[in-house]
Amino acid sequence: MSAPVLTISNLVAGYVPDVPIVRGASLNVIPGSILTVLGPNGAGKSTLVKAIAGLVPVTSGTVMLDGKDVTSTPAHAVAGLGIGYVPQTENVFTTLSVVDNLKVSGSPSASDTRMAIERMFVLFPDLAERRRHLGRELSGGQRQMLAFARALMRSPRVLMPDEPSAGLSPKMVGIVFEKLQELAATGVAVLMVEQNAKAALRASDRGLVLVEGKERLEGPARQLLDDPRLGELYLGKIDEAA
Amino acid sequence: MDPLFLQHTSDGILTGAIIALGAIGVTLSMTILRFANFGHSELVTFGAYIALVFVSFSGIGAQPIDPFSIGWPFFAAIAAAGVGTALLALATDWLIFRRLRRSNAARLTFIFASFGAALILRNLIMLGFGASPEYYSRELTMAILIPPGIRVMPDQILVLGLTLVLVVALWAFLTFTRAGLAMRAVAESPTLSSVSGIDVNSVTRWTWILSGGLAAMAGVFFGLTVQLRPEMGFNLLLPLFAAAILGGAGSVFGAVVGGLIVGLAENLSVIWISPGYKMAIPFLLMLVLLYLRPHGLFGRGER
Ligand SMILES: Nc1ncnc2c1ncn2[C@@H]1O[C@H](COP(=O)(O)OP(=O)(O)OP(=O)(O)O)[C@@H](O)[C@H]1O
Ligand SMILES: [Mg+2]
Repeated sequence: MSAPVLTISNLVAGYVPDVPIVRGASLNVIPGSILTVLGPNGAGKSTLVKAIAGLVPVTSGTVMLDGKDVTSTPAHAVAGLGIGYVPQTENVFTTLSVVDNLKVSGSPSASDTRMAIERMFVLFPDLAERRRHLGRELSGGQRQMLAFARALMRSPRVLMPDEPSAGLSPKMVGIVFEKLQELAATGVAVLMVEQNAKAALRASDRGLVLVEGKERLEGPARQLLDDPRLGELYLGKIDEAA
Repeated sequence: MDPLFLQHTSDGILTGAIIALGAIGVTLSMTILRFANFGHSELVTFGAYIALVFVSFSGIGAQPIDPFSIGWPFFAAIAAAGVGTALLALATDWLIFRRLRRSNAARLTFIFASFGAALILRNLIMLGFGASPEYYSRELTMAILIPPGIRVMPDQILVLGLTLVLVVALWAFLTFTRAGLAMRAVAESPTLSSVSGIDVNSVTRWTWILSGGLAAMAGVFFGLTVQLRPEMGFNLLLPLFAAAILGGAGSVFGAVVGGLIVGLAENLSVIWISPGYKMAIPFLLMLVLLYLRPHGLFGRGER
């Protein structure tokens, strides 16, 4: 197994001072693999990826990308360093065209951006057909693809989609997870937050259950699928599982 | 057609063009900086007076270019006004609004702070230049007669032409450049912009530079075709906001159309009602339109 590209150690983060939402979480993401973060509502899953992306203040702990400390780096710089975060909602610019969504998310180099856009159109042929459409004119599935493409424009080492399957049809959910596996196969590390535990774990290499801001269960995805503790943690029987 | 009507229409287009330049800055700050900047009017005034200072220093020996009332140095004065006012706008951001952003102040605090800044700036002008009106040039120019009887001053045509150039340039900037695209992205969502690698602080600075520069142009053009007074910007405040809101917050095209509508309505109203009520026209328009279309003519209200 290769060395992790993203290492989170004892991360504490929250929206207001003295109210930690992520409470000492640690995890590793390995290049070319998918790690899915599961957990009950309000566990702090979204806050965890937002803190990594530089959107939520970190109180303590570290975020290491490729051995480099990127803790508390401003969000726009994090994007430039190679972490592509895909928010759960409002993840495309609805007032910009598909091409402009990609262009504005590209690197400062115009030629790099042009090449990256062409790569995205190969990866997501649906988007190529709709390059002049506005973000708000896309269907739910197309929108999710544009959200991925947007986050991939800087060729990130880590892709972090937050609930990419939310609100999609079962068929589209399958396509989205296949796309993520396809991306992982190219060497991208995927750190995904999901509610759709079964489908997500089937598409993942590893899984992690976050409860009250801290990981409670971590292991190979297939093993987690059969682990009775998974359901218990979801139902809030935290103490028994501990 | 009635020549009086045509004359007022022509005057209305000119007023409208100047209002449009100011309203673009208002609409940009409303959507990108996310507050109604009541200090914007004073940027208009400052721009006009910076050009006046420049003209009075370089004006000697400047032959007017026939048929206009102003000479070549005036174009340098326009540029100086644009740059100077953009710097002033950046300075107010640095001194006041940047601090408010850091402390996560409420929107209302921003608005009141902008009122305060406006008051200080207006009184500085009053202190420096006094309350009496000033002019860039005392040259007399011949009005151009357009059949069936509209009189247009050459300076007015110059102002219209320059406004058109500025609006087209701004449109091209917002449409084709990366910085312009980033401004539109931040207008929609600062959070998504920052995770897309856009430095929102740098976009904020660009917004101040652009809206300050355009405000200065509005001020200089108003000064050239009407006169300079310390309260010139303040008197434009309502029309500027009416135009921006009519056009729909965030729409540059809307601000231009809104400016023209306000300018035309103000000027045409005097045919039917006493000029004393002219000031109320933008208000009235705004009320009627907001009743019919709450998000303005070109605005979209689903953010
Ligand atoms: N912007 C915010 N400001 C303050 N508190 C917030 C904010 N967003 C979320 N929270 C709080 O942080 C806690 C964790 O929220 P978070 O969104 O990280 O949970 P989650 O695990 O992603 O849940 P879900 O499964 O519902 O998406 C919740 O108690 C929530 O109320
Ligand atoms: Mg969430």
